[in-house]
Amino acid sequence: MASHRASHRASRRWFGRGRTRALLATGLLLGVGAVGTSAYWSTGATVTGVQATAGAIHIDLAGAQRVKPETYAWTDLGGNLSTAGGSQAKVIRVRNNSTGAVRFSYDLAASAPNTTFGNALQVTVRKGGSVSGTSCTGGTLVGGAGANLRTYSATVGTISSWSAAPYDDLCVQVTLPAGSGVTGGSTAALTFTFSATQVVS
Amino acid sequence: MSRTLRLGREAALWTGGILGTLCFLAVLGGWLFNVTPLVFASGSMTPAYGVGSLGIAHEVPASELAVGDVVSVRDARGSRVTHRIVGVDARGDGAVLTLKGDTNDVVDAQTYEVTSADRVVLDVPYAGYVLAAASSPAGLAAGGLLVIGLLVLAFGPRNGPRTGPRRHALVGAGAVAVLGVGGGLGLTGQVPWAFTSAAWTDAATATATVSATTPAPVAPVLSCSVVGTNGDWKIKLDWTYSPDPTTKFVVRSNGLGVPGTPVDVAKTLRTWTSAGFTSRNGQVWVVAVNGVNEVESTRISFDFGPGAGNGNKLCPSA
Repeated sequence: MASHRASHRASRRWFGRGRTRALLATGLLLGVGAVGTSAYWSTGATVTGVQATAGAIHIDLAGAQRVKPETYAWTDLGGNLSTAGGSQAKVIRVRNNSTGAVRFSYDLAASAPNTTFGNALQVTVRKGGSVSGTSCTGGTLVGGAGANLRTYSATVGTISSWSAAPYDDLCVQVTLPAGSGVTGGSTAALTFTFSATQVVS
Repeated sequence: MSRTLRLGREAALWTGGILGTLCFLAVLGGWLFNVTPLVFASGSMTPAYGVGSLGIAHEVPASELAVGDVVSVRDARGSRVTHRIVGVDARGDGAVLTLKGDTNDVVDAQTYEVTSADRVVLDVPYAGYVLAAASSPAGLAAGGLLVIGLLVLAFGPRNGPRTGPRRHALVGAGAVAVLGVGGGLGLTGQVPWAFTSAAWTDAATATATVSATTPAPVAPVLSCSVVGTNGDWKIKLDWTYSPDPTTKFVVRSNGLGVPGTPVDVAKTLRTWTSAGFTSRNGQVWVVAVNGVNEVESTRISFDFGPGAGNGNKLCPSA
């Protein structure tokens, strides 16, 4: 009994008024200050307040519906390019068909064979652009104009699945410049890869 | 003070004390042991690390990383991403990592060059939701108010007569200082815990085939004349052409006897004269030829002899 009282007294010395616990609670201020500044005021955020999301990501091309893996045969972009200088331009719709509220950022990378023809090809991408003849006009240029197709890679932007128009229309122009030394009859298989990564915010 | 109020006060003090201690320990533990608590904010690592999980990550050098490890690294945008290693390419003291979320069909769009990475070693399901809520504006405000309330409870005037103004000021200044230290840590990026995106990824591919076609060259602008003397008539062709280093010219004829077909290797030929002929009845023409793939222009022929026919022009007689 006596030892219990002694223990109780010792406990009260440490915790009776709660001052030790109150001082320890100031650790929360450390967290509040750290999270508050880094998440809401600092541009170089280390700790970011986030909203956990559930669902599944889907990036679809030209009306496809949640196809995995998706390979779209873009036949209308293909065709003939004059060795004297020519181009083809078409619009493709890139859609966020994710289930749940998912926002993604996506990149576009192009590739072609490592041949004279493949190396000579250039690409111009315009988000929101339209086709005029065999060229893309308007919209926002993505990456450089007339970029080397084989090494083309650019971040296009973000699309939110919950937006009223959860898609981008990309005008893609493939150009064979004049004087490239390409032999008529050459062919090249082009690949455009759209890579989406969920954006958490 | 009633028993209920006393119990409430004790509960608040214990709750605040424990949470505050955890905050202190998280900072100290992170610095001392290179440990980073990670809140999984998205679900590409499900079921190993679901949305809202709290992962405990330990920083290890690149040389200790292996395929199958789940690591947290920064992407090109500076955000943390936590995925499983599917490829390691050692580069000097570092490595280039290829990562993939367990539920993703494709690897991450970018690779990550690192000298070290936070390897996830422990998972506490759902604990991340608590931290996510605490980091919201409401959570931060609640935390701040809780601490202020606890300080008032512990050091306020109703808590004993010996708490003087100096001690009040000292406690207040200390609390502000701790808040300031936390703010400094946050601004400088020294906070050893983080939220991470186990981001979903997806990819779609469009393929197209293009062909190079060489258009026929434009036909040269041609003139024809008969030169020489009686018994030694010759056909002379002259033409002009816009400069094009890839185009050469070929002369062809019918009825000249010894027509000759010059090979325009230098691609500079602009005139040609036949050998002497006697027939005085036939055709002669020049075509421009693409030097790359031998595609010929349309031909415009001159008839020499009694008159033009078949759409040809008549080469004027001498």
